[in-house]
Amino acid sequence: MPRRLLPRLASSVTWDHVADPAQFVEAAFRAIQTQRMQGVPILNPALRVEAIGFTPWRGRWLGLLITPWCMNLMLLPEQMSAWTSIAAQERLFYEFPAGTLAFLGGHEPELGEYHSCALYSPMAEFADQASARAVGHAALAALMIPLAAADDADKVAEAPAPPEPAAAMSKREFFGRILPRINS
Amino acid sequence: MSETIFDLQREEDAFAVVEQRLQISRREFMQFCAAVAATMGLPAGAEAAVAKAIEQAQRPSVIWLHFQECTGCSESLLRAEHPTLEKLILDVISLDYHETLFVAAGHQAEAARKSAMQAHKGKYVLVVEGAIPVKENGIYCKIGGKTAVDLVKECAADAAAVIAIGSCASWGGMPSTGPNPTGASSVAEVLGKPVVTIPGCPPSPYNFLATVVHFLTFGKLPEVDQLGRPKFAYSRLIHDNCERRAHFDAGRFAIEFGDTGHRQGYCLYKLGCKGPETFANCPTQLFGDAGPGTWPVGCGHPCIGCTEKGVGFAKPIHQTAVLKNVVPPLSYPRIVEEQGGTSFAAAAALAAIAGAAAGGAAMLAKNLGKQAEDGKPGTPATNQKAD
Repeated sequence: MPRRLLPRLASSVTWDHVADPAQFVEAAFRAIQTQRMQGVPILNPALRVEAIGFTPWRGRWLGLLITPWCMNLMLLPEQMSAWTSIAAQERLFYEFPAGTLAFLGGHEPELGEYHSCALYSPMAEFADQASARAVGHAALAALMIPLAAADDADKVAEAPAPPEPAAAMSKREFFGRILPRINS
Repeated sequence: MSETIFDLQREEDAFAVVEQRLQISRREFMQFCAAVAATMGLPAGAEAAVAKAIEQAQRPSVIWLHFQECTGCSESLLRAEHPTLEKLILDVISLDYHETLFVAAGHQAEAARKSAMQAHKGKYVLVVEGAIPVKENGIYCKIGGKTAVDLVKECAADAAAVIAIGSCASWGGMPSTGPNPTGASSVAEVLGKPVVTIPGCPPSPYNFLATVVHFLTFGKLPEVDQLGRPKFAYSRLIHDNCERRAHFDAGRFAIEFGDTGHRQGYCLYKLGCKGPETFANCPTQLFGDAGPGTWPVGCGHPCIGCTEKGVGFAKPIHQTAVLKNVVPPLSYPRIVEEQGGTSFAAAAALAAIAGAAAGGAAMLAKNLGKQAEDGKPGTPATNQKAD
């Protein structure tokens, strides 16, 4: 007999994103725009909610969200079993070739859990959706290039070399890796 | 080879001297150097240079003037935090005149100021705390029979560097609030030339210390923005690195103090938070070294914009922020390793990515935007950290 799941857990089954979650991200943030962002005087009317560039990344979906009030990097779970749940004010540090970025927890009923990293707000400097989209793609690309190389425009276009994992490893990670082995 | 050993020996000796001088362990000393280096956004490893500078440099003579202020800036440096911080401050600098901390009083104190200025002519650092009243020939603030205007001019004449600490000295701050009956003015206005400013009410002690240590390590003051604020500390909006940012993005706002949203830690924008128009490193630097949440917004109060001229002490606290057209800064702190408990490195990386994306958008969109659209996945990164 299947165990009866609590409502939250039951809905968490649907939070696995087997395919590109862009449409769910867009739906959730369109609802936010029409409901909770009403009366907030900082929305850029030239922009609309759009989720772009979602690709699988380390068992998660990495993409970018454009709204009239902010632009964020977004991470969503491919499978909740491999996902770290954090509260809205907690930070989770993800290491990208460009550096370590702090993501904040998020949750919407239509979307499930996500982690977001704020890139821009307000959005007044973006003239139109196309320019916001261009910057968004550039940000996703810049994420995968080591910082020092990002200065050099030519290098940006080349395929980035993965960083030396040993050099990037902190003491915590090192012991995190070896301790399970020692214990087992 | 023998040279290397000799160097090591010398370093051992230097450490021993520092240990004796500061009465703290080498570990604590290096932690302090690392924290200061991180505040400045120096790359990992720079703490060695900082340590060397502190070990070897002759402590700069500092003359610290107080005018229209509450001494909160001095308090923020001397109270709370690591028990050793005040010891370090007093060792890093040679505080030759500070009315609050001085044992001397009256004519004795003024004589000490004069002799320090004479002995370190052209080499001392002048720190000014508090605004300077200029109305009625400056009669609203006098020390030892001299007006604040005269004092600051006299002390600045032979100073190697002038630092305005706190919002009052930076642009007038609270004493200059309309109708500004005493004509409270900034150090830069009175001297007629730009000075380094460390605004904040109070400012983070690390931002001041890092500025002084930068002077020690590199022989010059750090790069500043158009308001004289060190770029390492004042180049990103509070809003950008706020831990409540996810609530803002999702439209979850506290509407009044004590309501459900406020209790749940929602975004304070509608309560008048000035985070979106205030540049400072408060969300990453925090205050008091007491862990997460120890800064105004973290504690549930909207940012009042105390580091921002025209915002702090000018706009009502409840007034919602006017959002600026923010152009990402042209220079970013460069740091590659997480230092201490803050997310400084993350903030710096974020600034760099945001800046790189905005700066090179046209070119990158051409070259890489397509790549991303084609669905070509990025290089898998290293580890996920779940601190």
